[in-house]
Amino acid sequence: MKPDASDKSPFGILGIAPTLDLGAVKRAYFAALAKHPPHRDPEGFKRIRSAYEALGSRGAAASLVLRSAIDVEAELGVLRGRHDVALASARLAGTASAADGARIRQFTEGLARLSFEEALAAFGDA
Amino acid sequence: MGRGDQDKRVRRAGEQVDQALARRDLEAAVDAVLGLDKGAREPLLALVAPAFRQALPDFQKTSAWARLHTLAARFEQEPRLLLLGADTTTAAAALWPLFVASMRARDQSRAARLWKSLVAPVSVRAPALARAIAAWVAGQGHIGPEAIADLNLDGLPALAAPDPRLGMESPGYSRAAPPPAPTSADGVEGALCALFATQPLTVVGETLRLWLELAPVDLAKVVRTRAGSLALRELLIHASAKQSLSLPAALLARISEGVEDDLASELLLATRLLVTVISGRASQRGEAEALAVLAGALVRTTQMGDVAATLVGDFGGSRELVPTALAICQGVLARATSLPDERFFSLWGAALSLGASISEATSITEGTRAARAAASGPTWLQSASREVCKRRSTLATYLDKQSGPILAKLLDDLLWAQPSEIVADLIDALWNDASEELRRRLSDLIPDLIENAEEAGMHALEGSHSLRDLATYDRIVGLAEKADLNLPFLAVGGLTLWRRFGLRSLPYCVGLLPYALSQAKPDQRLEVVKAYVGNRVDIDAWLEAIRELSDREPESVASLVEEAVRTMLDRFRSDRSALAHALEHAERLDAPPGLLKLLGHAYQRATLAQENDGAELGPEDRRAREILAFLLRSKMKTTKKPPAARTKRPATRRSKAPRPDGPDGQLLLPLGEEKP
Repeated sequence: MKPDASDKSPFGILGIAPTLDLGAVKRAYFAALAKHPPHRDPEGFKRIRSAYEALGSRGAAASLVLRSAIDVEAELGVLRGRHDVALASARLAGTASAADGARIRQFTEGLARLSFEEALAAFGDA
Repeated sequence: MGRGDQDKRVRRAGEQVDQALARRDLEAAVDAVLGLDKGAREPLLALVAPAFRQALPDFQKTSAWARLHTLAARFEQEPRLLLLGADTTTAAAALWPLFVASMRARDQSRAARLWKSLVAPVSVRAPALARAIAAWVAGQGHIGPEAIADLNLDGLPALAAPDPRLGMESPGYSRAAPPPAPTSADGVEGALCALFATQPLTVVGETLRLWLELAPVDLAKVVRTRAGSLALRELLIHASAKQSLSLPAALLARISEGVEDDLASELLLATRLLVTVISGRASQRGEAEALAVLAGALVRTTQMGDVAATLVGDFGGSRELVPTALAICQGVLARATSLPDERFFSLWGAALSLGASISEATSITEGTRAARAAASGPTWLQSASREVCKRRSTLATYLDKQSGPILAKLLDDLLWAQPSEIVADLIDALWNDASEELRRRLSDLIPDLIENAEEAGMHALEGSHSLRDLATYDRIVGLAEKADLNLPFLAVGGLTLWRRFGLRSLPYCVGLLPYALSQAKPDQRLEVVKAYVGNRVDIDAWLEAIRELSDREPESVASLVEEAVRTMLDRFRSDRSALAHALEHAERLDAPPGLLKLLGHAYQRATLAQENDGAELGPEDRRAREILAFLLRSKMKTTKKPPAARTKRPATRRSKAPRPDGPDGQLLLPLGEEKP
């Protein structure tokens, strides 16, 4: 999940999703450094440098990852896209199966409450 | 058996049958008949059979299925019970309840035998019903929807409505049964979708548990991995709808056991979600527990093991979230015994920090040091510490790798968060494998440990209801009043700890010197100082010892300090470099001026001697000379000299002496006083 441009967290400044992969943080830092070299954009450089330093250790990165905001709807959208079609058809099949199950239970339970004559009368051809 | 006996038995059975039928006890009547030989039953069967046939439909109406099932067995034993004197229709009507009861009792073989007698009469009048029942019997109690597709069920009685007072749903109204467990990896997706689509999460969790128990390892792994994604979807749906996350989070955590790395990203996302929710509002018990379970799963992942320790640390820092941090800590540590050493130690460190902050808060509230000593920390933390003790060889390496401040904090937390005996055991366990630096750090804990134990021991004696304890307390107080007030007095717990650690820790911790002196006889005290200095060749140990002693009231240790200073100066008399260092070190230690002056003199002598030998001055001399200059200036300010002495000072000898502020920067104190 890519962060949006307004994300001011260190991950957002480096343009990556919250991660504990320090290698990915480093790669993102160098990519950002290429866009904001210190001699041309000192402010931008300062920003990405402080973001990189904030993520410098695993403990710090873990803390920031835990506190980073989550776009629940976006994450849910991804999982819905992956599972919802299969779940819908399973639900349909499950509904039919539940109806069948109810009918079967009605037959077996109902039959047990009928006497022989009543059963023949209920299902007799006549 | 004689004929007379047989007649007697028949007669007795007849009486029993009469009595049983009179009291409408069919089973007793049947048993009386079946107790006779087959040939002798006929007369009694004529009495029992009509009652038997008549009772069966009544039993069916009252759902007396167990009685009917028993009677079905009796019928198979003696078919004449039902058939004697009955036409086909009557017999079929009586057989029907026995058949139904056998089906309900899942006695499939008996039901199939009974059905054989019913097939013909049913097929004649209701062929569709006969086909359906045949399929039911053939399916061993299971019947497919297609077998009853032709039947119109409207004529059947409606099932009883569920009664919520019973606390459970009626079987007739329960939802569709969970799908069967997948038997291959290909079937996993379909089975899981069917499970998640049709069952509530509680049933999903329970069904998955059963599936995973029975599935082979490879298949279980596939099930866990796929189910994890679906559980995360449920969690996000709950989050989106602002519902409690505890159920789906706990489900995800349970699913992830054993495949933590495959579900690491799902676990992390779920943890973040719970952290956001818990931080955002008052913590809910269910969610905190779910977070604890998730953290327990996360800690076993290769990549994200640090998250759990961070979580404990972060939450422990916020007062409102301490209970949640505790739940996490407890949950994680309970599951962490199989973790690799380093990760376990890191978690233990976070737990200690949390325990220490709680203990500190308690201590501040109660305002006593004894409260701190008594705050023994929670049991789970103690058991974690004992587990840590077991891993002593790697713990020493781990602690050695920590940076100074981190190690200092960890050991301080240990002191706050754990009872004295656990800390002592840990020091003991670590000692042999510890480096010199770690031994020094561990030794630094001993004075606090001794003081805590001593105070806790006295506190316990004071608060005891035992006369013997109170007498001991009085005796100790009396002894303490007579003891040297400048030295610590040990009598109870502290004394035990001193005996356990004192001598081996003394060379590493100057703070133990007063304890050592308090336990030594007066004429052995210099030996104690020498024991503290031990094998250390540097002068710092001497300085620290003298500094420590100088802090005491001079009356009691003055001669000892003097003796120690003399011993030190004797030993380092010709080592100019050590004396220069000592001068600098003593100034940094804020040593008493007397000691500084003595060092200055010794340094001055060593400098002169080495200059005479043509030795070059080293860089360490610069600072030493600055200190000497300072001492000289302060001496000149404080010394009151008569004006005549200043004006009539003989120039001959002075001109030969080195100038206090000469061109080479040499600064020397006037020789003279040598006592501190």
